[in-house]
Amino acid sequence: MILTAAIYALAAVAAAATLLMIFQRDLVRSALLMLTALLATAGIYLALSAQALAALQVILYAGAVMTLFVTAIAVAPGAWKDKPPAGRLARLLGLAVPALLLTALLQATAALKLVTVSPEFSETGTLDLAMDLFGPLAWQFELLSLVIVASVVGAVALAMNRRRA
Amino acid sequence: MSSYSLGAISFALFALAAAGFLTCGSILRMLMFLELMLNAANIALVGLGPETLSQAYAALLFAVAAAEAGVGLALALAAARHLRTQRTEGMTDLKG
Amino acid sequence: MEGNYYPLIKWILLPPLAGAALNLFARRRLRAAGAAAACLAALVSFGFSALALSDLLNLPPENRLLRDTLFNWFSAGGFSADAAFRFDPLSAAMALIVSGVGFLIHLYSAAYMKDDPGYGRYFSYLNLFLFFMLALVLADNPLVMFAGWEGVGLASYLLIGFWYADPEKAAAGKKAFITNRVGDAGLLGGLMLMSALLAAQGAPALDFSSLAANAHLLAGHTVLGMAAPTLICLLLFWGAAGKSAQFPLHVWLPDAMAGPTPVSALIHAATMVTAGVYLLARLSFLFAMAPRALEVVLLAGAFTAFAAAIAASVQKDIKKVLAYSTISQLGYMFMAAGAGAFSASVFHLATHSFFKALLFLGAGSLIHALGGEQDLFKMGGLAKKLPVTFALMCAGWLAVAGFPGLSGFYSKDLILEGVLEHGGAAALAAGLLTAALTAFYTTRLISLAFLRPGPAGGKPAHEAPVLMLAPMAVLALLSLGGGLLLKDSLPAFLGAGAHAGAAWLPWTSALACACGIGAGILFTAPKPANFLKNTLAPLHALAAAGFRADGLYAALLIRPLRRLAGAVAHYADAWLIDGLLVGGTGRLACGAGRLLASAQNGRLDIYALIFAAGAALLVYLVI
Repeated sequence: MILTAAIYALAAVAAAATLLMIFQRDLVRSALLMLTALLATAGIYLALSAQALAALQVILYAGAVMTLFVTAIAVAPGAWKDKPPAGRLARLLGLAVPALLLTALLQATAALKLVTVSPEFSETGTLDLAMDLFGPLAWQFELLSLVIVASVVGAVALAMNRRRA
Repeated sequence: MSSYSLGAISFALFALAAAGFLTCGSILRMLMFLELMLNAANIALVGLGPETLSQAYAALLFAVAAAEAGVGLALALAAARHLRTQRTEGMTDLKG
Repeated sequence: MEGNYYPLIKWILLPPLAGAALNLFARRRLRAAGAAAACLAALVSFGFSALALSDLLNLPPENRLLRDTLFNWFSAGGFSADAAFRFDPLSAAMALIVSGVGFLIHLYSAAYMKDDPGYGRYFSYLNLFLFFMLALVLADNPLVMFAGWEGVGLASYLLIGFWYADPEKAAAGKKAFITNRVGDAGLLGGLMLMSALLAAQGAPALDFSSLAANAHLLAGHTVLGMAAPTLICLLLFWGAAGKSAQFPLHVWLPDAMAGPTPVSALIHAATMVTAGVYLLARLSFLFAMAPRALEVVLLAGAFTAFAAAIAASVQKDIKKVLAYSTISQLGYMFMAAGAGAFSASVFHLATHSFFKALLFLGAGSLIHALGGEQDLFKMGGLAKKLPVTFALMCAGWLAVAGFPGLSGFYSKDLILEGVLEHGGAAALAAGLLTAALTAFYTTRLISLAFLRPGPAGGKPAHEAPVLMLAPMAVLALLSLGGGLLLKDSLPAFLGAGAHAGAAWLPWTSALACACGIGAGILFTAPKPANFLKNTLAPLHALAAAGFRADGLYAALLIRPLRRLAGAVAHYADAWLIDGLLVGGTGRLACGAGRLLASAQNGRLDIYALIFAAGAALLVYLVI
């Protein structure tokens, strides 16, 4: 019961944060709103008994990724302000199309109304997760490290062009 | 609650992030909204499939999102630098 | 029907066609030779026509028909038309006249057009005309006849506008062709109506024999409130009026005098304009079923004859006098047809071709002698300078005036007898008055050109060469003696019944002729002429302008048509088609392209937007 309410409340927080982000001009404030949304998501994971994921969310998303963003905002060339977005029509469409997508998705998953979920706080999630990751999904997990290496190399290469030029 | 509600939460967050993605004004913000979209997808994974396989998938998705954020930011900074030296404006300039 | 294969007919037709082709394609290299070839072609046609006539005369009178089918022209469904020709008395008479007079005029032209740069082209057109006219009179069904009809219209246009560099002459050619076409619309309408009605009753064959046999099937139908035969005949009369320059389609003939004089002699006196009369005679069985239509023909002919005679009496140009005279004489022929005396009209056709061609050729000789002068009031006293021409033209003059014993007298008399029998008193009176006027204006022409003294300091005139005088002499002989020769044999040959004429009629017409000649000589003396002109000045001006028919048509038809054409060109063509449809389509394509191009503007966010929109649509549609 409490968990259900908590899920809804945290979802509302995340949604509100995202909504405010849309209309926020200031980059830093947008970043902080994003942080709020990510932390709310972590709360949702906790409520759904995905403790490991909640921890990963806080560490990776709200931690590493946010740090990256804040750093980028900090070192981004200063005179580069937020440009006004495209004309009215594009902005209207930009709001309308996701709405359309939302309705389509909701319609598509209407069958799920029948499946009830009652979140209970359970504890066995992490062990099973680990056994999955290092078991059947071990190959994918190792490949993931390759992805991260590639991204690091790419980022360094992109950033280094400045010095050579 | 039903799976539908969890799904609806995730879809709503995705739609909001998409709305922001399509109406924001700069690459940096677009990347932020992109992360939020991936985050919403994660929520969907976790919410609609409580067994551990979906959680593992979500964990993998964390890593991919983080990698993508890194490369994307590097790209955005390089583009901003480059375009700034050539042109004053230039949020996006792939015209062709 | 006497067999279906008489090969001589196509040999009547082929020489002029060959002559036309030869002169057209070799006109730079052959001059005298080309002209000789053309004259030879006409002579050969005449020879073969004469041979065919002798073959025809060997047949018993009720069975005189020789046919030849060359090929099947077209057939569609149940309808079929052959390129078939026939040689019966009417065709024989017409073919002989056409090829004979044609040959004489070819000879004359060889000398008349000697110095013209378009010599070869001229003879090509002349032979082409001969071919089409022969095809017209030898046709066995209305479709081949119509092909010849159109062909002579074409040849007439080409020959009237022969000196096409002069815009007036070219315009005259155009006017002739267009007026002909207006008439042709009626002709085609009549033919189509007739064919449709016959085919609906299961008798679709269109050759003249079948038409004569099946014509009774048309009676009893009503089209547009009129009996079918009447409507068909009226439409056919409209076509004939166009070709034969009857009111109201007469306006092209005076202007057609812009062509060379031999052309006027051949086409606009002797042969092409008689095609209308031929049409009426050929389809006489149809007209016999439509007495109302015959009345219209009679009235139109009478009115045209009278009005044209008045107009001829006041013309200054010698060729225009003869042009209006032709219109008037054609009116006589139509009067005869309207009174049911079709053979009388053909008889007058024959004699008219003799004396009118003679008069035209003589006028040409005058013009040639005077170096291009055509104004009657500038001529004079030529009787002494050009004695041979004077003598020959006197023959034509007396024939046209209806001097007793000459050809014109007999043919006109036959017509008046027919009008007396079946026409009304008004038509007869008009006919007699017109006879008097005819004598008057022809005498006026002769008097002004030859007898009265000319203006002081007259130019020296030399007689025409023999090649021009010889054909005129032949025609003079025919004008003088043709009547006596043909007055009984031709109507009988054409199948007219014998009839007793009123005894007083020949005397009355001789009296009219005498009055006319006397008045002509009297009123061309200066003082009486001026007296007449001053008292009747408005009428004089009106008649001299041809009763302003041209002006009337210009105001009623030509100016509104021009305005309509201008409006259509402006609105429909320039605005609608060019601007809206063509330009609009272009602009639409450009705009659409630009719209689509705007999706490729290089902006990532727009790309993302479109991508998302596409994805949403896909999700929506698929799921």
